[in-house]
Amino acid sequence: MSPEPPGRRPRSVGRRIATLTTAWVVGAALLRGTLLAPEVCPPFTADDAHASAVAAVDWIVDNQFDTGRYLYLYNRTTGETPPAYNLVRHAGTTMAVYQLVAAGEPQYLPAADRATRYMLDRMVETDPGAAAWAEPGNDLQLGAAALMTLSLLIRREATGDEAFDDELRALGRFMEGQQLEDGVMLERWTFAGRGPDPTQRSRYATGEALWAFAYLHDTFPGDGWDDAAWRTLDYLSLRRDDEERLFPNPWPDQWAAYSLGQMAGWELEPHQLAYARSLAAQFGVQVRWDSQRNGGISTLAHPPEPRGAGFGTVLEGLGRIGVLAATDPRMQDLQAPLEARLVCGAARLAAAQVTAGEVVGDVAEYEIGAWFLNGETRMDDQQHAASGMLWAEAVLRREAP
Amino acid sequence: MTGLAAAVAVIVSAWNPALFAERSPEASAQRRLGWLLAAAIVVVVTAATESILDLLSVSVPTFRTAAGAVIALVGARWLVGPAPRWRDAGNQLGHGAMDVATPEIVVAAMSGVASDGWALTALGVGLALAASLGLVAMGPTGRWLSWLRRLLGGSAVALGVALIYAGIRAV
Repeated sequence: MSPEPPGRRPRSVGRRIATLTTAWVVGAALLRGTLLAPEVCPPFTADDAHASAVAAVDWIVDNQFDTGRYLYLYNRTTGETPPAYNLVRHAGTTMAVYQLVAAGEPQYLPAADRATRYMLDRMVETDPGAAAWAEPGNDLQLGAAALMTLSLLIRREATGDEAFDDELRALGRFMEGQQLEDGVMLERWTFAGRGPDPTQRSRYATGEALWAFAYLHDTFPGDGWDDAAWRTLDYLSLRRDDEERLFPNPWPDQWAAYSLGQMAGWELEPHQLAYARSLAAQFGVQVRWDSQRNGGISTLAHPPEPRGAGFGTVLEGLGRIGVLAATDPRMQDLQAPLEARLVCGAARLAAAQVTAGEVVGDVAEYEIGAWFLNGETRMDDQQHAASGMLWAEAVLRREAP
Repeated sequence: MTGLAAAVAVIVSAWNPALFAERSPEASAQRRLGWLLAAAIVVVVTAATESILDLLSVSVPTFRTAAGAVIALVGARWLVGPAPRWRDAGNQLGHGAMDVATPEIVVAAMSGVASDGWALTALGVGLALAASLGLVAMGPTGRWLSWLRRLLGGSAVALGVALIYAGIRAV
């Protein structure tokens, strides 16, 4: 027996029990309010997801102007509808409306076609056989061209109408002209320089263009769009986040996720699958984090409150990487958690959507079906949320008995 | 943060056998029995980790993040804090049980079961217990033991941070 080190004070079992119990109780309470707050996922069905998407697209269509443009912004606090507009979001919103058409709601086709006509009327040729669109006098944007391409591709798949195949190929050639040899995509084409602006890239447009290339290849397999798709996928999966100094790394790019879902059957390389896994984690943790915001301390501990557009992109990302996980056996371990997060996130997003019963007065068309943050809703809140809901619906329909 | 080495390293670091030996350099048979019984209870209870997490409505990655935070915080205390200042008087069986029934050991074991399965976790607990008994059997080791406690504290910090990262980077 060695002697006790000097200076140690005696401690009884009772005192130790009290200390340990305090550590457990205080520690558990702190954790339960913060990191271990319960993850709450309301009950949700495929019909709920579909109804939410329909309500969101109703907001888009009910607020569409005769010109084909949509209402961009509405502030419920001031009642104002500022005149701002964004052409890339016009094309993206049109794509979402076509997604709903493809999901069995053909009554939205005329509205989507009006918005498409708005884009077609503004197309300009940049090189022989290559074209993009913008408001007259403005430079051309890659994102607007890519999302127009995707709108037309989804329309083609939903309706079987091949009327815009020439425009699709022209848009594809414009995007090819914006691509560098190493897969980098340049965002702007300027009339002043009659070519791409080498100084401008976009964190959004690169993934949008990639998805467009991949979808073009699946639609026109003999055209060779897959070369462009592979190059840009490698840029995204290996270098983009570092070169463009995006944070977090990987930047949670739902357009890249759409692309990976589109390319699920293309026998992706291991580094591309590793990128998909990293992206999946970025989307998954956002749903887990949000699902812990349930009032009181847990809400304070889990900021910020997401807007419909931001959370909708998370659902889109989960849905599309879910397609990859369901298709490629090397990703199969992610399928169940991806689908669980997608459905949970969709349920939470739907709970935040304005419903008819919540609206008083003559602002119904500005509010029903929308998501507001700080009193404001923007058309892409509805766009991304509607798209995300459709991916949740697809999963829930497959799971239904 | 999965696999045999990771599972064992997390539990041994959270357990910190050097701390056990510092707390009770001449651990009596009663104290050692307390360790053994409490370790057995931890191993049995953590077999129900999945049900416990369901009850708490918490996913495995989220729990892993929280467990990592607890382990890292406690590890930091061992890394930079003073040696144990108490002389445990009275029932040594009870003291032995409380040496083991700490939040850091329990959450480390639960996190191990959730990620790597019960068998690997039980192995980790067994190795940590054996290391504690071995250090006590070696007798007083003075400053060497103190540095080993700090080293394991540092390891707990690093592995706790790794667990947090793994929790965040999971779907």
